[in-house]
Amino acid sequence: MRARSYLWLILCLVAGCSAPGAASQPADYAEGYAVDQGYAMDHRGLSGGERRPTQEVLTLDDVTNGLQMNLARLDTLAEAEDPGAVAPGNGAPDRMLVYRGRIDVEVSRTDEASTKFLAEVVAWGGHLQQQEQRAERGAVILTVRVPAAHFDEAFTALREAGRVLGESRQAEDVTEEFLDLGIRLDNAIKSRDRLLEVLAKASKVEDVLAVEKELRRLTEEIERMEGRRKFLADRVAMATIAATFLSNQDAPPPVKKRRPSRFDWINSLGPRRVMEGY
Amino acid sequence: MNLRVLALLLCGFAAACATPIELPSDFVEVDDYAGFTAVTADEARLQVRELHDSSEAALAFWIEAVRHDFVDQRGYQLIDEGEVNDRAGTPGHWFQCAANVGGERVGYLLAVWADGAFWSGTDLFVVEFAAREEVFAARLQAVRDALKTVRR
Repeated sequence: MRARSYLWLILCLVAGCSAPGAASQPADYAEGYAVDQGYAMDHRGLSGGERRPTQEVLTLDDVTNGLQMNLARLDTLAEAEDPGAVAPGNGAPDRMLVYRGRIDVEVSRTDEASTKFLAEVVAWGGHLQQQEQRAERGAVILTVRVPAAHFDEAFTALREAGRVLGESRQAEDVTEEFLDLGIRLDNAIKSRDRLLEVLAKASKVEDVLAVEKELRRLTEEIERMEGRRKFLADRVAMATIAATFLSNQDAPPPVKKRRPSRFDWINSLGPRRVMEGY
Repeated sequence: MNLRVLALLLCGFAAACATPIELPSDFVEVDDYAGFTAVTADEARLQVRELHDSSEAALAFWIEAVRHDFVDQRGYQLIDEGEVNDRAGTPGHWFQCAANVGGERVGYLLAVWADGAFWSGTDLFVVEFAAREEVFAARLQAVRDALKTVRR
């Protein structure tokens, strides 16, 4: 609400002065008020789009439209400040979070506990990414992917499996990168379409070759960006959890490989020989 | 008459001399190429052997060597150990161990005497007694008592 009032105040100032860069803004609002800092946003600018130095004179309508979009953006951000809104699976559409977690749990039977957890992961629609076993404390290390909506649930299940020795969780916000990729992808596709039109009209061989070269470059770039967007979308959709199950049982004594005595008569002793001596 | 009695006495003496240990009750001597062997009906086995080692060493050395091999190398559980004198009063040493044989827990008793000389190595006299754990426990004391009757 305070931000809204602030915006309207600046709107008045901008309308009155119509001089770019005349007002200074709080750093937090830098993106939303880019127009005032000498940058004009294109129609996607509020989502982190490209900025270009303002060369043309902005009309009052341009500024008003931009500010209305900023208001909508601020409303969305205000909703996102609600802790519930950032929880995985709560579907905050403008925040894309990649959830990762690691937990070490001490259990009585590592094989049973890991198998049980894996069954739960599969039931949630997740899958095993990597499994590793180590002799030390019968360790079973599972790396699993679970739908982000089940991230908390998975951690709860792991905590209940035994005694938690260590735990870490992180959420990486990839919203900006994802949206930026989308914008650059749109632009690249539009450029490609335009180049195709140019290609259709080109008559000189050297023009055709030059356009085709640029088309190849653009196509590669488009594919790369699409791949990255798919990767990010997958990371957002499926959280990654590395769970280490450690046994709380004392390790069995190592099996000794007997080194025979250098004295033959000692080697001839023992209960086995006596009992099987018939 | 006197000659008959004397002959019988001599035979008895000779027979007694041939047995290296006075067997506890319920043990019966059996033929075994490995040495003097006696068994019980419940399959406890007792064996007496004379062995030799070219190294000349005192009993204390052999005690350490056996303990190291049994405990550190074979993983036997050393239950108890102590000294014992044979019939002639020569000091020896005994070990009582527990071990697994074929997945079964067994008791094992070893008594050893050593006579060393630098020109001939060491003559060793060993008594071994082994049985399933419960049989072993039931007969252990009788065998330990019999060790004092060892005749070398």
